[in-house]
Amino acid sequence: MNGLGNAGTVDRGYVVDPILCTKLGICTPQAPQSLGDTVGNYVLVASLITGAGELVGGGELTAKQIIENVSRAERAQGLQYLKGFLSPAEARLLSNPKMAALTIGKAVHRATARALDRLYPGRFKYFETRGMDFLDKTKNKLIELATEAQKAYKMRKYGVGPEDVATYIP
Amino acid sequence: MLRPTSPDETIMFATGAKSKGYAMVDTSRDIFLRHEHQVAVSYAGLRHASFGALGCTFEGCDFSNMRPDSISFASGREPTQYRQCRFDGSRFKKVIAGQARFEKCTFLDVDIRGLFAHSAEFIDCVFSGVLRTSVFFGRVFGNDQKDVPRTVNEFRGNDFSAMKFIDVGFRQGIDLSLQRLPEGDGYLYLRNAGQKLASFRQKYTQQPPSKRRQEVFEFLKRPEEEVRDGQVDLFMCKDSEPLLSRDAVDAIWDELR
Repeated sequence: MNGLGNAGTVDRGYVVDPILCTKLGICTPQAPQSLGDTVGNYVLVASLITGAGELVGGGELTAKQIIENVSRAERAQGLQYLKGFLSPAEARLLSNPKMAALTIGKAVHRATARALDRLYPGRFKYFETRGMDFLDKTKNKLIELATEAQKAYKMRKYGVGPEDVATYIP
Repeated sequence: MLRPTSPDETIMFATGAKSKGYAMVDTSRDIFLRHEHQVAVSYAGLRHASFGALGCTFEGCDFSNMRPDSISFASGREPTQYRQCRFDGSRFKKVIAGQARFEKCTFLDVDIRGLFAHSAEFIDCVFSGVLRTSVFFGRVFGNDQKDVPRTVNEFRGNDFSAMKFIDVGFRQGIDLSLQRLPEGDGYLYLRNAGQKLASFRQKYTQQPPSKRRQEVFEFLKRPEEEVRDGQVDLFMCKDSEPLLSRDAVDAIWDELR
């Protein structure tokens, strides 16, 4: 028994915040699988971000939790991975200190949108242009994706609460 | 429902203001198809709605003159195939290509932005119009590797000669000799790029430090990385060099041609 119940296999490609893992009681510590895994050294149960989106031991994940988990997992795969979501010109901007953070954010948003479409086909709608980022069509719930540092600003900007802003670690 | 928006994020940040507006979000017209095999079905003219397909096959279908909010050609973890379909006159802004496979499709007079074809395949397709901020991959990239049994994306016989490329790239082993590419001053096509880039670097390494030498070394980073990543021939757009002046790029390209 690996502590995961019957949740299925462990997806070694995903890394999440160990504090969140512990809180949810769904992760087992693992040795880093690669350099990209060193962010958390924890792996996430595949079912957390796949399938019906149910937590191990019951309780449905909210749209915010799903987007937060997925975006953090995408960010944790490293810069080389995120470059795959950038055009040649955007990839160039990574070497400009003033533009790097903004460009990484763009890549994280695109990677998250793709991962959500892969794991939850048809459920989330992504708005790349101005305005809140994602719509969970099953709940009619809008979610903004931002870094922790941007969270207060985004809440003020859109007049929404913390439950409407999913955050990733830049 | 209403989606909070802001006309200008910079102003919003400076003033600390709340959202200045709302956009209506209507999902009632969104189309999402699962495991369907459709022949000669038309989605022409779809606007203000999203389109998605999961594990579908489309033959001779019409996707022309579409203006979808977003489009997922192959949603989920399964391939979706498009054979002899028309996408003519469509504008696709937020594109998720997924494991889509396009065979003998036409994309005439299209305007496509943000296409990252991590595991999509294109065979004998014809393109015209504009393609912006997009990348095609020769190998299956990222999370799709977990779902796709193959490692290589089939990419051959495509005609881009009448298309305008703005900041478009080919990465990870796409055989450019099997495609027809646009020509002109705005593009640079380097056959056997590794050899050319190495001798170019060698030349400037032997020179004393100068602004030009610094620009050359800055320029070389990306193409050298792409060669290391398996791309033998390189195709570059002049719009893809935001950190160098146009004069510097012109001079470097003249030397490389």
